[in-house]
Amino acid sequence: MQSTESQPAGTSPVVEFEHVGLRYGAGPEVLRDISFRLEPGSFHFMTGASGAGKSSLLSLLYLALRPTRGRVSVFGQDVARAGREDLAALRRRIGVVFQDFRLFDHLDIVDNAALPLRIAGADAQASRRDVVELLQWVGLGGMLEARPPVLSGGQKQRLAIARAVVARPRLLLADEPTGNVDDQMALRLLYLFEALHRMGTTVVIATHNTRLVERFAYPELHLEAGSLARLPSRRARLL
Amino acid sequence: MSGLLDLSRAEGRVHLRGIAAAASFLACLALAFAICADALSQRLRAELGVALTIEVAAGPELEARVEAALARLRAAPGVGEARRLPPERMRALLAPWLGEGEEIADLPLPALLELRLLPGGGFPRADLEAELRASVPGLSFDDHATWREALLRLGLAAALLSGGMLLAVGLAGMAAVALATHARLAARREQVEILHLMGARDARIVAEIAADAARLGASGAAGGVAFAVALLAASAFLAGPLPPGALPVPAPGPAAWGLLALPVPAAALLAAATAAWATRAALRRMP
Repeated sequence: MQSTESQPAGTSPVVEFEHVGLRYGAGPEVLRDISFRLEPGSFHFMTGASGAGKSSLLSLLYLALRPTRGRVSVFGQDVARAGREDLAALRRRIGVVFQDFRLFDHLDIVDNAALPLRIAGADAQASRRDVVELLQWVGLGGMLEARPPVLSGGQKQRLAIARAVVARPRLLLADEPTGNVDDQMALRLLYLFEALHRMGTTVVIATHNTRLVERFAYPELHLEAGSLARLPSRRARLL
Repeated sequence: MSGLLDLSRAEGRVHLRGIAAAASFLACLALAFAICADALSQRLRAELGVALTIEVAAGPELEARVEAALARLRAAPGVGEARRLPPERMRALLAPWLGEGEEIADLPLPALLELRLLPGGGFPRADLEAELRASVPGLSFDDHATWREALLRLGLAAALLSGGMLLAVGLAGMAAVALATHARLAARREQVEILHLMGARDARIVAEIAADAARLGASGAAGGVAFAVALLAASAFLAGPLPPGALPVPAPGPAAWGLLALPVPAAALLAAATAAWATRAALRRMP
């Protein structure tokens, strides 16, 4: 299956799946014969009903799982052949917004958002201004010293998004990133993802929010019962 | 700024500290036992090694035979002091078995000569014994070889016993620290997983957990050692000073006290190594 985006000649894909299958233990395959490429700077929505395999596919993309068959390549590196240090280096180039946020309750908002920078070895003091600026952008500027347990669902989600984008990842994966916020904030967050996309980040957003998918003219990775169909944007399909 | 992982939470901290304290307390007592047993054995062997007892059998011309033997012994090289055990001292030693009074005065008792040798003095034991046996009838040497051998064995047995105790305490401590570390890891598995997924190097996660385990191990062990030392000091105080001439119990010197603190760094090292091993094993199970 070919990408819908134009691509510079000779540019290698950010992600490439070739006949990938995934099963948990001895269970049935939850992903079947998935093949696709994500070109640098592309933007996709990942859609599909609950249980279609979106979270499993995202887990393969952020290297939390290895495929049971087929080949997964990320940033040009075959994941099956990558050593632990290589995988860690690949993961540092990926930003993830988890559906259940996975924030650290013992860290305040600034430290939570700055985690990827600390992991990458950035100087905490030097990067603090950027982190605070980003937190202000997502509407958390007034509560920098608060800790996750006192945040609402929407605030946690915005913090999780800030953490995912703070290190300007080359690949951004988000699992239902607008599930707990109102429409206005959802739009604002999507504009943030778009801003990153314009800076060259490859973005994949798994969502059930059809209004958002219809509003933005990006193609879909559509999953149905573990199989992938690649669709042009809904807006294009409606024309 | 806090560490990446939340290691300040209670899960496993008390266990790890308690285990380190208990293991170090036992290790400290085992070390104290080994130090005292070794010092006592060495001191007794040293004393017996430079002392010799010569018995001159009772019989005719006992005084003349004693004087002849003492004269020859005092002239021999390597002899620091040669003297006869005074008859009244000998009677006092025999009194518990033979009683006091006139009856013991009439008994034909041998004479005992005490010889103190100079260390490295080249005392010609075999030659002198042969010469004196030939010239002084009824004379026999006792170089305490049996006692020295027994004390040597006693010292080895004490060393073996305390070594075994240390090994058992160490292995049990290691297993318990490993269990406590696994419990701590299990409580923070999600955090470790997230850091792993964010690209944190295994070495960084391992270092953070191992450093925390070392701190907990050291603080727990310090408590255990302090309690053991206090107990030893209290025991020594309750036992009180021994009367002069009683079995000598050596007091540990500064070096020995230093050895008693050994469980603290050992526990820190052991906790860190075990935590590092357990964390690496947990991380290896992640893709």
